[in-house]
Amino acid sequence: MMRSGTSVREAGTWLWILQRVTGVGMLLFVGLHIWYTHFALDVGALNAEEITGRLQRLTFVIIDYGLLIFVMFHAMNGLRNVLLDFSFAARRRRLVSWVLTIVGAAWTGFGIWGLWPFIAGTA
Amino acid sequence: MAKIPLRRDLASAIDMIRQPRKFAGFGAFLLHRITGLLLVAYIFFHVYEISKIQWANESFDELIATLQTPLWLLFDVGLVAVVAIHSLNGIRITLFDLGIGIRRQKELFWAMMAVAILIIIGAFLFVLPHLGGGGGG
Repeated sequence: MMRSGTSVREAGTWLWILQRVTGVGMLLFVGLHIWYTHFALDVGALNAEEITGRLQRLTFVIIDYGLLIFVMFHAMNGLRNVLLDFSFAARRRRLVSWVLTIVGAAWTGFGIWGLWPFIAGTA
Repeated sequence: MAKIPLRRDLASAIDMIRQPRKFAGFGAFLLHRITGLLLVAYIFFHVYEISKIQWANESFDELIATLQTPLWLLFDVGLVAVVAIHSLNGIRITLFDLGIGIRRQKELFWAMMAVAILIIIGAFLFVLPHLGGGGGG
């Protein structure tokens, strides 16, 4: 099954390539994310203090922030591909893109702030 | 596919399920969309959930306790299922973009889904000992 051509033609090749790059990147990132949150370290009591202590490692912080950015891009661009398969007028398409960009950026910002306790303890 | 007439799609979706041999193409496309949309919903929830560590430590602890109850562990198995299906089919799509395997797309689809089923069974077996209650890992 080939992908729908619509989004590729209209948004340019870059979004399509980035969707693939973030997808392949996430295979690695998600794998590592699951591995170190469940298997890599002795899992003690699960509470805010323990979890903060465990995840305050530079490598984990880098992976988590990278993952956040990759996932939010992949999610919003993927949602855009789905939405634009329904026919919209050109102006509406731009509106869809802008709304998704703003929502994605806002949630990424929220995530960066939410993960801050992990980064604060690493230095 | 500029315009999707939903009713016709629904009819062909039902057709695919009735005739497994035809499922690989359009079925893979539908599965990819459905799992993708579920994952969009999940990532919004996951970011919100983890951010509680920043602004509400006590409710974060409560949330983490809730997430270890059997119902949520089964939710985690579902999550693994959705991630496995979406990522394995994603690998398949990416291979096609690189010009690999297009002629064998059906076999590749079923091979990927077989791997997904193994991963799902593995996740279920991993969670199984914790379903009786108590803390999970």
